[in-house]
Amino acid sequence: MNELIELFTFSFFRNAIAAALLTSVIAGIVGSYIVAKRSVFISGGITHASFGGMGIAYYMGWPPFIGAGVFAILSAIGIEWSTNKAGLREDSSIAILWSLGMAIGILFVFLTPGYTPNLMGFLFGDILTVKLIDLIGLLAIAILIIVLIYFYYQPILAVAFDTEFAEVAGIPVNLIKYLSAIFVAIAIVLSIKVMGIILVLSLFTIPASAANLYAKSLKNVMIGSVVLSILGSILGLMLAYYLDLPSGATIIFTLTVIYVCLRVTKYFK
Amino acid sequence: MEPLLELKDVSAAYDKNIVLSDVNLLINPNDFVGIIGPNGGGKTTLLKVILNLLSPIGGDITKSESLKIGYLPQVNTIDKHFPITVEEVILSGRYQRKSWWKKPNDEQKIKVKELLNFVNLEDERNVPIGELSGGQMQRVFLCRALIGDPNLLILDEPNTYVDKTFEANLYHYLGELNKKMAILLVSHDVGTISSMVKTIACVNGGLHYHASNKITNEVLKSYNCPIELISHGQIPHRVLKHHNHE
Repeated sequence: MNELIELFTFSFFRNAIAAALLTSVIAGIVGSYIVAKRSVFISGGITHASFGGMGIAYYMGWPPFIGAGVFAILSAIGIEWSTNKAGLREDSSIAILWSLGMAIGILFVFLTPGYTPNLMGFLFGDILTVKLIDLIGLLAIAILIIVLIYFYYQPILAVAFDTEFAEVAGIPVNLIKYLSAIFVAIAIVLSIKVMGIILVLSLFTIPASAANLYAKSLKNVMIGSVVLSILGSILGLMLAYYLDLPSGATIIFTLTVIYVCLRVTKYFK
Repeated sequence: MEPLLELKDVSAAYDKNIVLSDVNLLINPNDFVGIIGPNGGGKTTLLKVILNLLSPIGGDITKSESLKIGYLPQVNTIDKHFPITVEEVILSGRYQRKSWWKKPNDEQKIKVKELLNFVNLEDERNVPIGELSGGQMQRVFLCRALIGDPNLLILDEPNTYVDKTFEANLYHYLGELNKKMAILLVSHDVGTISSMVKTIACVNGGLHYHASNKITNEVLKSYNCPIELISHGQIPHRVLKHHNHE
Protein backbone atom coordinates (compact mmCIF):
# COMPACT_ATOMS: atom_id res chain seq x y z
CA MET A 1 0.00 0.00 0.00
CA ASN A 2 2.80 2.39 0.94
CA GLU A 3 4.41 1.61 -2.34
CA LEU A 4 1.20 2.63 -4.11
CA ILE A 5 1.06 5.96 -2.26
CA GLU A 6 4.71 6.52 -3.02
CA LEU A 7 3.95 5.97 -6.68
CA PHE A 8 1.65 8.98 -6.65
CA THR A 9 4.45 11.23 -5.46
CA PHE A 10 6.03 10.87 -8.88
CA SER A 11 4.68 13.52 -11.21
CA PHE A 12 5.07 11.25 -14.25
CA PHE A 13 2.75 8.73 -12.63
CA ARG A 14 0.18 11.34 -11.62
CA ASN A 15 0.23 12.64 -15.19
CA ALA A 16 -0.17 9.12 -16.51
CA ILE A 17 -3.23 8.50 -14.30
CA ALA A 18 -4.75 11.84 -15.32
CA ALA A 19 -4.12 11.05 -18.99
CA ALA A 20 -5.69 7.61 -18.58
CA LEU A 21 -8.79 9.14 -16.93
CA LEU A 22 -9.25 11.84 -19.56
CA THR A 23 -8.60 9.48 -22.45
CA SER A 24 -11.14 7.09 -20.95
CA VAL A 25 -13.79 9.80 -20.90
CA ILE A 26 -13.06 10.80 -24.51
CA ALA A 27 -12.71 7.27 -25.87
CA GLY A 28 -15.70 6.04 -23.86
CA ILE A 29 -18.09 8.62 -25.29
CA VAL A 30 -16.73 8.79 -28.83
CA GLY A 31 -16.22 5.02 -28.93
CA SER A 32 -19.86 4.37 -28.01
CA TYR A 33 -20.89 6.56 -30.92
CA ILE A 34 -18.52 4.80 -33.33
CA VAL A 35 -19.61 1.34 -32.23
CA ALA A 36 -23.32 2.22 -32.38
CA LYS A 37 -22.89 3.71 -35.87
CA ARG A 38 -20.82 0.70 -37.00
CA SER A 39 -18.03 2.97 -38.13
CA VAL A 40 -15.17 1.25 -36.32
CA PHE A 41 -13.46 0.54 -39.64
CA ILE A 42 -13.69 4.23 -40.61
CA SER A 43 -12.03 5.11 -37.33
CA GLY A 44 -9.28 2.61 -38.05
CA GLY A 45 -8.70 4.32 -41.39
CA ILE A 46 -8.51 7.75 -39.75
CA THR A 47 -6.10 6.50 -37.10
CA HIS A 48 -3.67 4.99 -39.56
CA ALA A 49 -3.98 7.84 -42.06
CA SER A 50 -2.83 10.20 -39.30
CA PHE A 51 0.56 8.48 -39.34
CA GLY A 52 1.17 10.16 -42.70
CA GLY A 53 0.79 13.60 -41.14
CA MET A 54 3.06 12.56 -38.31
CA GLY A 55 5.78 11.51 -40.75
CA ILE A 56 5.59 14.77 -42.69
CA ALA A 57 5.69 16.79 -39.47
CA TYR A 58 8.77 14.84 -38.37
CA TYR A 59 10.51 15.55 -41.64
CA MET A 60 9.66 19.26 -41.52
CA GLY A 61 10.52 19.57 -37.84
CA TRP A 62 6.94 20.47 -36.81
CA PRO A 63 5.15 19.11 -33.75
CA PRO A 64 4.16 15.57 -34.84
CA PHE A 65 0.70 15.66 -33.25
CA ILE A 66 -0.27 18.75 -35.24
CA GLY A 67 0.62 16.86 -38.42
CA ALA A 68 -1.33 13.83 -37.24
CA GLY A 69 -4.33 15.97 -36.31
CA VAL A 70 -4.46 17.69 -39.70
CA PHE A 71 -4.23 14.36 -41.53
CA ALA A 72 -6.84 12.75 -39.31
CA ILE A 73 -9.36 15.56 -39.81
CA LEU A 74 -8.74 15.69 -43.57
CA SER A 75 -9.17 11.95 -43.92
CA ALA A 76 -12.33 11.95 -41.79
CA ILE A 77 -13.84 14.64 -44.00
CA GLY A 78 -12.52 12.85 -47.09
CA ILE A 79 -14.19 9.56 -46.17
CA GLU A 80 -17.49 11.33 -45.41
CA TRP A 81 -17.31 13.23 -48.69
CA SER A 82 -16.17 10.39 -50.94
CA THR A 83 -18.96 8.09 -49.83
CA ASN A 84 -21.58 10.83 -50.09
CA LYS A 85 -20.56 12.44 -53.33
CA ALA A 86 -17.93 10.60 -55.32
CA GLY A 87 -19.75 7.29 -55.32
CA LEU A 88 -16.64 5.40 -54.21
CA ARG A 89 -17.47 2.38 -52.08
CA GLU A 90 -16.87 3.17 -48.46
CA ASP A 91 -14.75 0.18 -47.44
CA SER A 92 -12.50 0.64 -50.48
CA SER A 93 -11.96 4.34 -49.85
CA ILE A 94 -11.14 3.61 -46.20
CA ALA A 95 -8.62 0.91 -47.12
CA ILE A 96 -6.92 3.21 -49.65
CA LEU A 97 -6.64 6.03 -47.12
CA TRP A 98 -5.48 3.62 -44.41
CA SER A 99 -2.52 2.26 -46.35
CA LEU A 100 -1.70 5.52 -48.14
CA GLY A 101 -1.38 7.31 -44.78
CA MET A 102 0.89 4.62 -43.40
CA ALA A 103 2.98 4.66 -46.58
CA ILE A 104 3.45 8.45 -46.45
CA GLY A 105 4.41 8.19 -42.79
CA ILE A 106 6.96 5.45 -43.39
CA LEU A 107 8.50 7.33 -46.36
CA PHE A 108 8.94 10.57 -44.47
CA VAL A 109 10.24 8.92 -41.32
CA PHE A 110 12.73 7.08 -43.55
CA LEU A 111 13.75 10.36 -45.24
CA THR A 112 14.23 12.17 -41.93
CA PRO A 113 17.95 12.20 -41.23
CA GLY A 114 19.24 10.74 -38.00
CA TYR A 115 17.47 8.93 -35.22
CA THR A 116 13.70 9.41 -34.93
CA PRO A 117 12.93 9.68 -31.24
CA ASN A 118 9.60 8.45 -29.86
CA LEU A 119 8.62 6.62 -33.04
CA MET A 120 7.84 3.56 -30.96
CA GLY A 121 5.86 5.81 -28.65
CA PHE A 122 3.63 6.87 -31.53
CA LEU A 123 3.07 3.31 -32.64
CA PHE A 124 2.51 1.74 -29.23
CA GLY A 125 1.74 4.65 -26.92
CA ASP A 126 3.83 6.26 -24.23
CA ILE A 127 1.65 7.17 -21.31
CA LEU A 128 4.55 7.68 -18.90
CA THR A 129 5.91 10.66 -20.85
CA VAL A 130 2.64 12.62 -20.93
CA LYS A 131 3.27 16.32 -20.30
CA LEU A 132 1.11 19.03 -18.81
CA ILE A 133 0.36 20.46 -22.25
CA ASP A 134 -0.98 17.06 -23.39
CA LEU A 135 -3.22 16.94 -20.33
CA ILE A 136 -4.60 20.40 -21.06
CA GLY A 137 -5.43 19.33 -24.63
CA LEU A 138 -7.14 16.17 -23.38
CA LEU A 139 -9.09 18.09 -20.74
CA ALA A 140 -10.26 20.71 -23.23
CA ILE A 141 -11.51 18.10 -25.71
CA ALA A 142 -13.11 16.01 -22.96
CA ILE A 143 -15.07 19.02 -21.71
CA LEU A 144 -16.06 20.04 -25.24
CA ILE A 145 -17.31 16.54 -26.06
CA ILE A 146 -19.34 16.32 -22.84
CA VAL A 147 -20.92 19.73 -23.50
CA LEU A 148 -21.77 18.83 -27.11
CA ILE A 149 -23.28 15.48 -26.14
CA TYR A 150 -25.25 17.11 -23.33
CA PHE A 151 -26.83 19.75 -25.56
CA TYR A 152 -27.06 17.89 -28.86
CA TYR A 153 -27.64 14.31 -27.78
CA GLN A 154 -31.03 13.98 -29.49
CA PRO A 155 -30.05 15.21 -32.97
CA ILE A 156 -26.74 13.31 -32.85
CA LEU A 157 -28.64 10.17 -31.89
CA ALA A 158 -31.25 10.72 -34.61
CA VAL A 159 -28.61 11.17 -37.33
CA ALA A 160 -26.57 8.17 -36.17
CA PHE A 161 -29.65 5.94 -35.96
CA ASP A 162 -31.40 6.81 -39.20
CA THR A 163 -29.70 9.47 -41.32
CA GLU A 164 -32.32 9.55 -44.07
CA PHE A 165 -35.18 9.97 -41.63
CA ALA A 166 -33.29 12.68 -39.74
CA GLU A 167 -32.88 14.56 -42.99
CA VAL A 168 -36.61 14.31 -43.68
CA ALA A 169 -37.32 15.50 -40.14
CA GLY A 170 -35.32 18.66 -40.84
CA ILE A 171 -32.12 18.07 -38.89
CA PRO A 172 -29.04 19.56 -40.61
CA VAL A 173 -27.64 16.10 -41.24
CA ASN A 174 -24.50 17.14 -43.10
CA LEU A 175 -23.45 19.64 -40.45
CA ILE A 176 -23.79 17.02 -37.74
CA LYS A 177 -22.12 14.32 -39.83
CA TYR A 178 -19.05 16.39 -40.67
CA LEU A 179 -18.73 17.87 -37.17
CA SER A 180 -18.89 14.47 -35.53
CA ALA A 181 -16.36 13.12 -38.05
CA ILE A 182 -13.99 15.94 -37.06
CA PHE A 183 -14.49 15.26 -33.36
CA VAL A 184 -13.90 11.56 -33.84
CA ALA A 185 -10.64 12.42 -35.62
CA ILE A 186 -9.47 14.80 -32.86
CA ALA A 187 -10.42 12.32 -30.14
CA ILE A 188 -8.45 9.57 -31.86
CA VAL A 189 -5.34 11.68 -32.38
CA LEU A 190 -5.27 12.84 -28.76
CA SER A 191 -5.67 9.26 -27.56
CA ILE A 192 -2.76 8.13 -29.75
CA LYS A 193 -0.42 9.78 -27.24
CA VAL A 194 -1.62 7.33 -24.60
CA MET A 195 -2.32 4.18 -26.58
CA GLY A 196 -0.35 4.50 -29.80
CA ILE A 197 -1.62 4.20 -33.37
CA ILE A 198 -1.72 0.42 -33.35
CA LEU A 199 -3.65 0.03 -30.09
CA VAL A 200 -5.84 3.14 -29.86
CA LEU A 201 -8.79 1.65 -31.73
CA SER A 202 -9.35 -0.96 -29.04
CA LEU A 203 -9.78 1.74 -26.40
CA PHE A 204 -12.67 3.05 -28.50
CA THR A 205 -14.25 -0.33 -29.16
CA ILE A 206 -13.74 -2.75 -26.24
CA PRO A 207 -15.37 -0.69 -23.43
CA ALA A 208 -18.21 0.37 -25.74
CA SER A 209 -18.87 -3.20 -26.85
CA ALA A 210 -18.83 -4.33 -23.21
CA ALA A 211 -21.27 -1.59 -22.16
CA ASN A 212 -23.44 -2.50 -25.15
CA LEU A 213 -24.05 -5.90 -23.58
CA TYR A 214 -26.10 -4.36 -20.79
CA ALA A 215 -27.08 -0.81 -21.68
CA LYS A 216 -30.39 -0.08 -23.41
CA SER A 217 -29.69 3.34 -24.87
CA LEU A 218 -26.72 5.13 -26.37
CA LYS A 219 -26.61 7.44 -23.35
CA ASN A 220 -26.15 4.49 -21.02
CA VAL A 221 -23.63 2.85 -23.32
CA MET A 222 -21.61 6.06 -23.14
CA ILE A 223 -21.71 6.20 -19.33
CA GLY A 224 -20.96 2.50 -18.94
CA SER A 225 -18.17 2.65 -21.45
CA VAL A 226 -16.48 5.59 -19.68
CA VAL A 227 -16.67 3.73 -16.34
CA LEU A 228 -15.29 0.47 -17.79
CA SER A 229 -12.61 2.35 -19.65
CA ILE A 230 -11.45 4.16 -16.49
CA LEU A 231 -11.46 0.89 -14.58
CA GLY A 232 -9.53 -0.95 -17.27
CA SER A 233 -6.94 1.70 -17.92
CA ILE A 234 -6.14 2.43 -14.26
CA LEU A 235 -5.92 -1.29 -13.45
CA GLY A 236 -3.88 -1.88 -16.60
CA LEU A 237 -1.54 0.97 -15.76
CA MET A 238 -0.91 -0.43 -12.26
CA LEU A 239 -0.31 -3.91 -13.65
CA ALA A 240 2.06 -2.53 -16.26
CA TYR A 241 4.02 -0.70 -13.57
CA TYR A 242 4.32 -3.59 -11.16
CA LEU A 243 5.02 -6.25 -13.78
CA ASP A 244 7.19 -3.92 -15.85
CA LEU A 245 5.16 -4.43 -19.03
CA PRO A 246 4.30 -2.00 -21.86
CA SER A 247 1.36 0.09 -20.58
CA GLY A 248 -0.77 0.28 -23.75
CA ALA A 249 -0.78 -3.47 -24.35
CA THR A 250 -1.49 -4.20 -20.68
CA ILE A 251 -4.47 -1.81 -20.68
CA ILE A 252 -5.92 -3.53 -23.76
CA PHE A 253 -5.45 -6.88 -22.11
CA THR A 254 -7.21 -5.71 -18.91
CA LEU A 255 -10.10 -4.26 -20.92
CA THR A 256 -10.48 -7.52 -22.83
CA VAL A 257 -10.60 -9.49 -19.57
CA ILE A 258 -13.36 -7.13 -18.34
CA TYR A 259 -15.26 -7.63 -21.60
CA VAL A 260 -15.00 -11.42 -21.40
CA CYS A 261 -16.17 -11.41 -17.75
CA LEU A 262 -19.23 -9.32 -18.63
CA ARG A 263 -19.98 -11.46 -21.67
CA VAL A 264 -19.81 -14.67 -19.64
CA THR A 265 -21.95 -13.16 -16.85
CA LYS A 266 -24.56 -12.19 -19.40
CA TYR A 267 -24.52 -15.67 -20.91
CA PHE A 268 -25.27 -17.33 -17.57
CA LYS A 269 -27.88 -14.81 -16.49
CA MET B 1 -59.36 23.21 -50.85
CA GLU B 2 -55.67 23.81 -51.29
CA PRO B 3 -53.77 20.68 -52.30
CA LEU B 4 -51.05 19.52 -49.91
CA LEU B 5 -48.68 18.46 -52.59
CA GLU B 6 -48.56 18.71 -56.34
CA LEU B 7 -46.04 17.21 -58.74
CA LYS B 8 -46.09 18.49 -62.31
CA ASP B 9 -44.15 16.64 -65.02
CA VAL B 10 -41.51 15.62 -62.53
CA SER B 11 -38.58 13.55 -63.77
CA ALA B 12 -35.83 12.04 -61.69
CA ALA B 13 -32.63 10.18 -62.46
CA TYR B 14 -29.63 8.51 -60.88
CA ASP B 15 -26.43 9.26 -62.81
CA LYS B 16 -28.33 10.06 -66.01
CA ASN B 17 -30.40 6.87 -65.75
CA ILE B 18 -33.89 8.25 -65.93
CA VAL B 19 -36.04 6.40 -63.42
CA LEU B 20 -39.10 8.64 -63.42
CA SER B 21 -40.36 10.69 -66.30
CA ASP B 22 -43.14 13.27 -66.39
CA VAL B 23 -44.89 12.19 -63.25
CA ASN B 24 -47.99 14.10 -62.18
CA LEU B 25 -49.41 13.63 -58.76
CA LEU B 26 -51.89 15.61 -56.72
CA ILE B 27 -52.53 15.00 -53.05
CA ASN B 28 -55.39 16.77 -51.29
CA PRO B 29 -56.09 16.78 -47.56
CA ASN B 30 -57.52 13.43 -46.41
CA ASP B 31 -56.71 11.64 -49.64
CA PHE B 32 -55.66 8.02 -49.41
CA VAL B 33 -53.43 7.31 -52.39
CA GLY B 34 -51.98 3.89 -52.99
CA ILE B 35 -48.98 3.62 -55.26
CA ILE B 36 -48.19 0.26 -56.77
CA GLY B 37 -45.56 -0.76 -59.25
CA PRO B 38 -42.93 -3.39 -59.92
CA ASN B 39 -39.61 -3.45 -58.09
CA GLY B 40 -37.28 -1.04 -59.85
CA GLY B 41 -40.24 0.84 -61.29
CA GLY B 42 -39.41 4.03 -59.42
CA LYS B 43 -41.64 3.87 -56.35
CA THR B 44 -38.86 4.61 -53.89
CA THR B 45 -37.44 7.28 -56.20
CA LEU B 46 -40.79 9.01 -56.26
CA LEU B 47 -40.84 9.03 -52.46
CA LYS B 48 -37.29 10.39 -52.33
CA VAL B 49 -38.31 13.26 -54.59
CA ILE B 50 -41.34 14.02 -52.44
CA LEU B 51 -39.21 13.85 -49.27
CA ASN B 52 -36.54 16.21 -50.67
CA LEU B 53 -33.93 13.47 -50.52
CA LEU B 54 -33.40 13.60 -54.29
CA SER B 55 -33.59 16.66 -56.53
CA PRO B 56 -35.70 16.12 -59.63
CA ILE B 57 -34.07 16.81 -63.01
CA GLY B 58 -37.23 18.39 -64.34
CA GLY B 59 -40.74 19.48 -63.46
CA ASP B 60 -42.31 21.37 -60.59
CA ILE B 61 -43.12 20.36 -57.05
CA THR B 62 -45.55 22.58 -55.19
CA LYS B 63 -45.93 22.05 -51.48
CA SER B 64 -48.56 23.67 -49.33
CA GLU B 65 -47.27 25.97 -46.56
CA SER B 66 -49.04 23.77 -44.07
CA LEU B 67 -47.57 20.50 -45.36
CA LYS B 68 -46.10 18.36 -42.61
CA ILE B 69 -44.91 14.96 -43.69
CA GLY B 70 -44.71 11.92 -41.43
CA TYR B 71 -42.58 9.19 -42.95
CA LEU B 72 -42.43 5.46 -42.34
CA PRO B 73 -39.42 4.08 -44.22
CA GLN B 74 -38.91 0.47 -45.20
CA VAL B 75 -38.03 -1.31 -42.01
CA ASN B 76 -35.09 -3.19 -43.52
CA THR B 77 -33.14 0.06 -43.80
CA ILE B 78 -32.93 0.23 -40.03
CA ASP B 79 -30.15 -1.09 -37.80
CA LYS B 80 -32.01 -3.26 -35.31
CA HIS B 81 -29.04 -3.58 -32.97
CA PHE B 82 -28.59 0.14 -32.44
CA PRO B 83 -28.70 1.00 -28.71
CA ILE B 84 -31.84 3.13 -28.68
CA THR B 85 -35.07 2.85 -26.73
CA VAL B 86 -38.59 2.92 -28.12
CA GLU B 87 -39.19 6.36 -26.61
CA GLU B 88 -35.98 7.76 -28.11
CA VAL B 89 -36.94 6.44 -31.55
CA ILE B 90 -40.36 8.07 -31.39
CA LEU B 91 -38.99 11.39 -30.10
CA SER B 92 -36.55 11.50 -33.01
CA GLY B 93 -39.57 12.05 -35.28
CA ARG B 94 -40.47 15.46 -33.85
CA TYR B 95 -40.77 17.96 -36.67
CA GLN B 96 -37.55 19.82 -36.26
CA ARG B 97 -36.68 22.02 -39.20
CA LYS B 98 -36.66 25.19 -37.13
CA SER B 99 -35.95 23.71 -33.73
CA TRP B 100 -33.81 20.64 -34.31
CA TRP B 101 -31.46 21.45 -31.42
CA LYS B 102 -34.20 21.61 -28.79
CA LYS B 103 -34.59 18.91 -26.20
CA PRO B 104 -37.95 17.13 -26.11
CA ASN B 105 -40.43 18.79 -23.78
CA ASP B 106 -43.00 17.25 -21.42
CA GLU B 107 -45.80 17.71 -23.91
CA GLN B 108 -43.89 15.63 -26.46
CA LYS B 109 -43.19 12.95 -23.87
CA ILE B 110 -46.90 12.74 -23.07
CA LYS B 111 -47.55 12.48 -26.79
CA VAL B 112 -45.21 9.47 -26.91
CA LYS B 113 -47.32 7.71 -24.28
CA GLU B 114 -50.53 8.48 -26.15
CA LEU B 115 -49.13 7.15 -29.40
CA LEU B 116 -47.87 4.00 -27.69
CA ASN B 117 -51.35 3.50 -26.30
CA PHE B 118 -52.78 3.91 -29.77
CA VAL B 119 -50.61 1.06 -31.10
CA ASN B 120 -50.88 -1.05 -27.91
CA LEU B 121 -47.23 -0.81 -26.93
CA GLU B 122 -47.59 1.21 -23.72
CA ASP B 123 -45.36 -1.20 -21.74
CA GLU B 124 -42.55 -1.09 -24.26
CA ARG B 125 -41.58 2.58 -23.83
CA ASN B 126 -38.14 1.99 -22.32
CA VAL B 127 -37.31 -1.20 -24.17
CA PRO B 128 -34.41 -1.16 -26.65
CA ILE B 129 -35.70 -1.69 -30.17
CA GLY B 130 -33.55 -4.78 -30.61
CA GLU B 131 -35.92 -6.65 -28.28
CA LEU B 132 -39.02 -5.96 -30.38
CA SER B 133 -40.62 -8.21 -32.98
CA GLY B 134 -40.91 -7.02 -36.58
CA GLY B 135 -44.52 -5.97 -36.13
CA GLN B 136 -43.83 -4.14 -32.88
CA MET B 137 -40.94 -2.32 -34.52
CA GLN B 138 -43.18 -1.22 -37.41
CA ARG B 139 -45.67 0.17 -34.91
CA VAL B 140 -42.89 2.11 -33.17
CA PHE B 141 -41.83 3.59 -36.50
CA LEU B 142 -45.44 4.45 -37.20
CA CYS B 143 -45.45 6.39 -33.91
CA ARG B 144 -42.23 8.12 -34.93
CA ALA B 145 -43.92 9.21 -38.16
CA LEU B 146 -46.93 10.49 -36.22
CA ILE B 147 -45.36 12.45 -33.36
CA GLY B 148 -44.89 15.58 -35.46
CA ASP B 149 -48.65 15.76 -36.15
CA PRO B 150 -48.32 15.30 -39.90
CA ASN B 151 -51.08 16.07 -42.38
CA LEU B 152 -49.53 13.72 -44.91
CA LEU B 153 -48.39 10.27 -43.84
CA ILE B 154 -46.07 8.49 -46.26
CA LEU B 155 -45.59 4.75 -45.86
CA ASP B 156 -43.02 2.78 -47.83
CA GLU B 157 -43.93 -0.90 -48.07
CA PRO B 158 -45.36 -1.06 -44.54
CA ASN B 159 -46.52 -4.64 -44.99
CA THR B 160 -43.17 -6.30 -45.63
CA TYR B 161 -41.41 -8.17 -42.81
CA VAL B 162 -44.44 -8.08 -40.56
CA ASP B 163 -46.78 -10.74 -39.32
CA LYS B 164 -50.30 -10.96 -40.66
CA THR B 165 -51.87 -9.84 -37.39
CA PHE B 166 -49.95 -6.62 -37.62
CA GLU B 167 -51.00 -6.17 -41.21
CA ALA B 168 -54.66 -6.32 -40.24
CA ASN B 169 -53.93 -3.94 -37.35
CA LEU B 170 -52.06 -1.58 -39.64
CA TYR B 171 -55.07 -1.17 -41.88
CA HIS B 172 -57.18 -0.50 -38.82
CA TYR B 173 -54.74 2.22 -37.70
CA LEU B 174 -54.59 3.71 -41.17
CA GLY B 175 -58.38 3.88 -41.37
CA GLU B 176 -58.40 5.82 -38.11
CA LEU B 177 -55.54 8.09 -39.18
CA ASN B 178 -57.06 8.85 -42.56
CA LYS B 179 -59.80 10.78 -40.77
CA LYS B 180 -57.14 13.27 -39.70
CA MET B 181 -54.53 13.20 -42.46
CA ALA B 182 -53.82 12.30 -46.05
CA ILE B 183 -52.01 9.02 -46.59
CA LEU B 184 -49.66 7.99 -49.37
CA LEU B 185 -48.93 4.29 -49.27
CA VAL B 186 -46.43 2.53 -51.47
CA SER B 187 -46.61 -1.19 -51.98
CA HIS B 188 -45.73 -3.88 -54.47
CA ASP B 189 -48.65 -5.85 -53.08
CA VAL B 190 -51.86 -4.80 -54.80
CA GLY B 191 -54.15 -7.14 -52.95
CA THR B 192 -53.78 -5.41 -49.65
CA ILE B 193 -53.45 -1.91 -50.96
CA SER B 194 -56.71 -1.88 -52.88
CA SER B 195 -58.93 -2.65 -49.92
CA MET B 196 -58.21 0.66 -48.24
CA VAL B 197 -57.22 3.32 -50.70
CA LYS B 198 -59.39 5.88 -52.41
CA THR B 199 -57.11 6.44 -55.39
CA ILE B 200 -54.57 4.12 -56.88
CA ALA B 201 -51.62 4.95 -59.08
CA CYS B 202 -49.05 2.78 -60.73
CA VAL B 203 -45.43 3.82 -60.98
CA ASN B 204 -43.45 2.19 -63.73
CA GLY B 205 -41.16 4.80 -65.18
CA GLY B 206 -44.12 7.15 -65.35
CA LEU B 207 -47.12 7.37 -63.10
CA HIS B 208 -50.59 6.27 -64.12
CA TYR B 209 -53.65 7.28 -62.21
CA HIS B 210 -56.74 5.30 -61.67
CA ALA B 211 -59.62 7.22 -60.21
CA SER B 212 -61.00 4.50 -57.97
CA ASN B 213 -59.56 1.63 -56.08
CA LYS B 214 -60.81 -1.12 -58.36
CA ILE B 215 -57.98 -2.78 -60.14
CA THR B 216 -58.95 -4.84 -63.09
CA ASN B 217 -56.99 -6.69 -65.67
CA GLU B 218 -57.83 -4.02 -68.20
CA VAL B 219 -56.62 -1.23 -65.96
CA LEU B 220 -53.32 -2.91 -65.32
CA LYS B 221 -52.87 -3.72 -68.97
CA SER B 222 -53.68 -0.31 -70.28
CA TYR B 223 -51.28 1.30 -67.82
CA ASN B 224 -48.59 -1.23 -68.64
CA CYS B 225 -48.28 -2.08 -64.99
CA PRO B 226 -46.73 -5.52 -64.59
CA ILE B 227 -48.07 -6.27 -61.15
CA GLU B 228 -49.30 -9.49 -59.67
CA LEU B 229 -52.48 -9.47 -57.71
CA ILE B 230 -51.98 -11.01 -54.31
CA SER B 231 -54.65 -11.66 -51.77
CA HIS B 232 -54.24 -12.43 -48.10
CA GLY B 233 -56.38 -14.38 -45.69
CA GLN B 234 -56.72 -11.76 -42.99
CA ILE B 235 -59.27 -9.02 -42.55
CA PRO B 236 -59.67 -6.51 -44.07
CA HIS B 237 -59.97 -8.80 -46.99
CA ARG B 238 -60.80 -8.39 -50.59
CA VAL B 239 -60.21 -10.89 -53.33
CA LEU B 240 -59.82 -9.34 -56.72
CA LYS B 241 -60.30 -10.81 -60.11
CA HIS B 242 -57.60 -13.12 -61.44
CA HIS B 243 -55.50 -11.83 -64.21
CA ASN B 244 -53.12 -13.55 -66.56
CA HIS B 245 -49.66 -12.42 -67.36
CA GLU B 246 -48.32 -12.55 -70.80
